[in-house]
Amino acid sequence: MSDPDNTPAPTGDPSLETDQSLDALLQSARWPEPSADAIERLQTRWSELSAGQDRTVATSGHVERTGSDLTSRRPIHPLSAVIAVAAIAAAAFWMGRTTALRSDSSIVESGQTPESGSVDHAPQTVAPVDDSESTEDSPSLQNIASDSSEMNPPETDPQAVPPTIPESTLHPETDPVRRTHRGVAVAQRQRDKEELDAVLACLIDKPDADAACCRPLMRRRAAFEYLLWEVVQNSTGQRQSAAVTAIGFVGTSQSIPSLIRTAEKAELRGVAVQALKRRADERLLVSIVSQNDDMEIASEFAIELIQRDTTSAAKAFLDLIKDPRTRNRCLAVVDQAGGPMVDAWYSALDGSLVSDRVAAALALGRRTDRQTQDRLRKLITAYPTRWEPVAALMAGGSDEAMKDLTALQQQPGRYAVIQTAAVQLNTLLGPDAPPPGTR
Amino acid sequence: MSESGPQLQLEDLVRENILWAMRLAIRLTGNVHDAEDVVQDALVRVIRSADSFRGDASFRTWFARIIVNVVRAGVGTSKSRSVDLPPDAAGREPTPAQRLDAKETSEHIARSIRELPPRQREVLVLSAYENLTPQQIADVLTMSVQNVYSSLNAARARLRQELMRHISAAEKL
Repeated sequence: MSDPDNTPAPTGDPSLETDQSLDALLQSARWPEPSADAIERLQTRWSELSAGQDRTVATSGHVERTGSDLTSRRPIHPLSAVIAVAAIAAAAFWMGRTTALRSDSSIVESGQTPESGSVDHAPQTVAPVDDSESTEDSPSLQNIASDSSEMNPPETDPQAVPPTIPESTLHPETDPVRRTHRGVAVAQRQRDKEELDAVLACLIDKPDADAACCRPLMRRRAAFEYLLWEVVQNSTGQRQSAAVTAIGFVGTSQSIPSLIRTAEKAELRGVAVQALKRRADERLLVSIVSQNDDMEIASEFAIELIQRDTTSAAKAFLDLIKDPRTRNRCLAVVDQAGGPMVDAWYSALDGSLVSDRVAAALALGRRTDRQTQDRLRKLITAYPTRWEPVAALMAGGSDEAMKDLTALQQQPGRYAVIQTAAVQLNTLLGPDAPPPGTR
Repeated sequence: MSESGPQLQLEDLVRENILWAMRLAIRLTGNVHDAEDVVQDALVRVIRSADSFRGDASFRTWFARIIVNVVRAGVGTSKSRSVDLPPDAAGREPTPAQRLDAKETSEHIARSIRELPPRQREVLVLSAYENLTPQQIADVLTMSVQNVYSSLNAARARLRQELMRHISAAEKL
């Protein structure tokens, strides 16, 4: 093996040749390409993020919601900081003064004086006050104590703090800082609803343009997901159906339980099933196939699973075939599988688990297309000692397959393979299953 | 240079390299959907880290580091952890055996790479598909060049063993 720190080994070195073939192999790999939709989504997202950054730099004096999580990077404008600090200081001052004045009034009422207090207590600095006394800098304690229910606003030095709470109480509705934020939130919600209405109208008008219609909602999925469910609950007819369709594109995993419940309603079943198919991962698809008593829905999701064309979907589908509760509903849809899934089943004929091999044989055998049947026959011819393709032929049960099996039995040395195939099928199918080859 | 100069430059660079970023993320995660999640998160981190990009280093090295960190953080680890099979070749009708071989090989390569330990996978992808030098890889992954070599050799040895066995088996079929 060549030293990686030095120049490569001279030509003729087997390890180098192997590396070259490995390099060629790596370069020959065809990776999935991102879809145009995905690129567009990312471009849109980047535009929003970078626009939010620009707005933050250019903005002066107010906080603006951009729908992106730029809060950690927004610089705080000095004037905003002053207003915020002043509001907090004024509120603290008011609360503190109110508390202090109330406790002072209780001292006055009880008639205590600092001089008469216990030696254990710190000497009081506030002298008792009667009606005739008042200071220039503080209002009369008596007046405030007797008028506590009205809670007149404190006198403030207008030069020390900016004008503050205009009303007599610290009511949230009158807090200018909170009023601004709530106003922004209300305006945002209104804009969201308008945008949602436009999307739903698009879905109603152009049923084939589902994904394109929903694109504006992708930037704030969680918020729109919530609004969409509101529409589902409060609407009927096309608008309701369009909302369920949109959830299929926009919704998160949080929507899945609700979509499953929605699929139980006859008028929304179709759109809910389509939405679930878009949102469900393979594990959920398996769960729906396994647990749904409705054969039609179970079959739809079994088809969705085998059309996912991933290795994990292939494995999951074979597991469903192994399960006697789901075997028949899955075998009923094997003709819907595309090329990659079928190829995966062929690969599974060589799998490390015998149960996987039997399940793959069942899946392939039950397919009715000529191509699969021809290929199985070729495998039987090419690999006379392998029982898996024979088991697939047995599982098919067609007249032609039975003729082939009969002819196979006549060939010397094949009897044992056929017996092995039958035994393996029975091991999976169970002793009560119909004989191999029958549907 | 004006304060908006590097910012505008970064915006354009990111926009031009989103496709490249997706391809890198696909090779690191093995899954198109996970890759999109990774790149989404990376874009947010680009904004947060914009100050650290001074325009002097290679943009892709900097962006690749962000993407690798996002993958390491576990973003885009989908429940299925599946490897997407390559798409069908449109308009051609290869024989089933040819299609089986090509797709199986391609799928096996992607799966084998996906199953490498994370560090080996990162090094291999950056070396084989991004054509980065060991020094550049070391910069992206914040490791020493020696470690890059070690990880790369280990990854290649492992892949060699996996794929040669597959190739031999496919030739026999």
